[in-house]
Amino acid sequence: MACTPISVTVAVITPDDKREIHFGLTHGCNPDGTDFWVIDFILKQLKAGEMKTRIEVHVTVNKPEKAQQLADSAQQGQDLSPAKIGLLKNQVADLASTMTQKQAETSPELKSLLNRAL
Amino acid sequence: MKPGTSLAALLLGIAVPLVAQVCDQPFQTYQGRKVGKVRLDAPLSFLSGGPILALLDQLPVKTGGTFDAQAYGRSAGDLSEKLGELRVNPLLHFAGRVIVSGIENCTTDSIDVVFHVYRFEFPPMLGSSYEGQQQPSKLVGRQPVPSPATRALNSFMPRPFLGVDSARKFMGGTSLQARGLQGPINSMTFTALQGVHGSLFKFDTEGSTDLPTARVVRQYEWRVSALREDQPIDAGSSTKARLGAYFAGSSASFGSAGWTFRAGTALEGGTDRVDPNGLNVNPADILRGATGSLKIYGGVTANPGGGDPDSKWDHSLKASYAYQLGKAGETLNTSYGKRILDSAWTTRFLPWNHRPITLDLHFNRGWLGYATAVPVAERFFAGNGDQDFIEGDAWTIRSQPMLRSVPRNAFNTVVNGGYAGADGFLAFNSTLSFCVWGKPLAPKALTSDPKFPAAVKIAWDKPGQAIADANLADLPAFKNLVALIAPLVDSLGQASTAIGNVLQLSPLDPDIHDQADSVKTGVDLFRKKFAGKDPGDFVPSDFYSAIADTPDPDLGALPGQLSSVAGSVKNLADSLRGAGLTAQADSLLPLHKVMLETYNKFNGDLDAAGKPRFMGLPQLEATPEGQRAKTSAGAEVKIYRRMFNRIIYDMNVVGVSPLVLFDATSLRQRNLPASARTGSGFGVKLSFFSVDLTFAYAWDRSPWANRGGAFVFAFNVVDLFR
Repeated sequence: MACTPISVTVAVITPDDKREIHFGLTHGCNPDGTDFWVIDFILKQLKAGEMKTRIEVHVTVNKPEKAQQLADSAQQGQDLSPAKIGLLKNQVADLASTMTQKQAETSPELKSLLNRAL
Repeated sequence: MKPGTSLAALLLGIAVPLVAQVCDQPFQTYQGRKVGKVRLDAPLSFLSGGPILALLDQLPVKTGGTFDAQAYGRSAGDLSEKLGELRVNPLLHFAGRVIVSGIENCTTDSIDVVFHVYRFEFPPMLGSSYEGQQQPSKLVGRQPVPSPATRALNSFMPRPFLGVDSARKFMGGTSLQARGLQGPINSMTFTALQGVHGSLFKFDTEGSTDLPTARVVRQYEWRVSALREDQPIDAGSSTKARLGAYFAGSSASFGSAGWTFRAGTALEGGTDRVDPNGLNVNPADILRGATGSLKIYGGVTANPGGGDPDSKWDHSLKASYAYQLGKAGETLNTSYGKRILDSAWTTRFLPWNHRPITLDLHFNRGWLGYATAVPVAERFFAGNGDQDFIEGDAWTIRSQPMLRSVPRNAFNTVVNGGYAGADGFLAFNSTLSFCVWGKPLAPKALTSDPKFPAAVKIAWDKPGQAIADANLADLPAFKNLVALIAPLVDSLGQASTAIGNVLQLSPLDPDIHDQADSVKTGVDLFRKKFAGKDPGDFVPSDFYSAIADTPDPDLGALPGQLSSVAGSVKNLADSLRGAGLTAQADSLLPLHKVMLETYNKFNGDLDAAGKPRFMGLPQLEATPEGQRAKTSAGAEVKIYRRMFNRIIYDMNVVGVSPLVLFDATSLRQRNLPASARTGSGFGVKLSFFSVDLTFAYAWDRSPWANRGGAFVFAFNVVDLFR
């Protein structure tokens, strides 16, 4: 069966109005006709009158350009401390400050750092 | 499940694709052909309020261009990203969007690319009956389109609702909520409801405090409420007016089952009036007069079985015990006491993906103690209406027996012709449903992909750290550190200006010029990291490496950048002084001092004995509160992981679940034998993602009853956090 790109997105606010859940499922097609999938799961929580992101999870299956990101994620494992996240964030900020907007959008180093920091 | 019903409507922005030749060859076979036209079918896009058609220029596939299979393959996701996040708020509880890419009108030279955008929303005003409504709470501070009308909507958040039940018949009303108030008051809510029989007017003002890293009590809530309610009691009616003050606290979660405790108290006063209108009430009972009561309760909730996010079984338990000490009568001279035990158990079993079996069990019991008389309104009346022990409390305790096969309050005596209102009751309710058909949100092609479990595991490795970071940011000691940022940013700004002035000097030694230029660049870059940011948005990881030292297993500690920035400012001051520019050098010294002090404080300003004079980030993480902030993040992630699994493996975009229900209620009255009635029925539950609509009919099975029955309608938003 031919592959068809589809994206489904839903958002729900809990009955107590204190949390929002955003769920996205994207079915995409690789140029060779195989499928790839991306799941986005974001939970926001009411804090000081505003909904702020509490947790953000992205699951990617079979998307080629994500392979390196997954490898980065796997290498980072479970023990990223606030200190290590801070180090990565700071490196991102420093690297980005030396680039133009266009350079920042396409920089593989910046993308890799961002994946590890976020 | 609460009885009552709603007039629900689903606002579906369903686009009907235009009649066109759909191309059914694999999309990659069209690689390189000319794109004749790119079309975006979103006929009801005006409902979303967004200029969807304006996105045509930003789509990855362009009219007149060459068809790129790779861009097309990811086009649905790219378009979804460009359309942005869906908006939900207390006025709009559910929103969804589906984008389907397609190829049409293909010839040997060209093709058309079409994007079908379907959008659907579920406003609660059309879906939630009064009984089903949860307590409105704090605001979502967001305005879709800034205009006087939307600003007014955002300020008062009106929530109209319509409903019907067998006692009140048709009813409608609205609530208005002022939100985002400063100080201890989070919100004020006014609710008005008018039914064919009965009405309700209520005003609440409430507030709460969250303590995410506290050892025992994690949340306090308080509320002051004024209420006037008329409701039918069989042939008669009851009117009550109340002024009440409420206070409650919830504990942290304990153990693998997440045992969470809650306790609360309420002080209420007002008047009661019952119009019997043929209802046979005990002549000794109080039909009208003043009333006052003190209510206390304790409760617990848990997920027995550990709440393993990957388990096919999911159990949840909730139990409460409540006591009410009351005074009533014209001079408050009559005392009475009421006790309520309320418990509920829900089991959800997933024998196959997207085919959940759900069993809801509810048991509650009530006792009324009094000498000779009691207000009629405090007695027990069974029926398909629900009543909470404390009206409007987030922790619900069912205080009346539920019997879904008879109208609200209609089963109220143990003998035919007896006095209305019982002294005690036992009630049991059960509902079993099994999903027989459903359209899953996550298709089998995804969940059965062998790479999927590993991808999920990797994705869930990181979020715990972000939550730990956010928990640490809530600690008061962290806020003390954040308070240092504004003076630091000021100092950096002043240093930049001062160095800029030096660079304007002429003549100026070229070496000093280069040094000043380099220092200014460093100061400006560093300042950009923190300038203009909301202090409430800072988390500890924002400061590590930039200000606080980063621990490194190999190198010991990597100094925060601020130390080198401060050092460069000091060195420049020394150079300026050496060149005779004393005033310029002196202007930098106090700014250097602020930078150095900030750096030292963030790293724990240690005294001679090695004890911190000011709690820095490393010390903060090592405190018991800091450790709890990290460990509680793990427990929280488990909840979200379970929620994620439920969406992936359990939920349906549309699901159909037949259900059976059985209720049994026994009433007791003094000096009379107890009387029991049972009811059973069946129906169907329609699920739309996280919204369940139940339609059923329950028959009264009691041998001596009139064998009638009642319709059961329910609207429930599934609690994904359970």
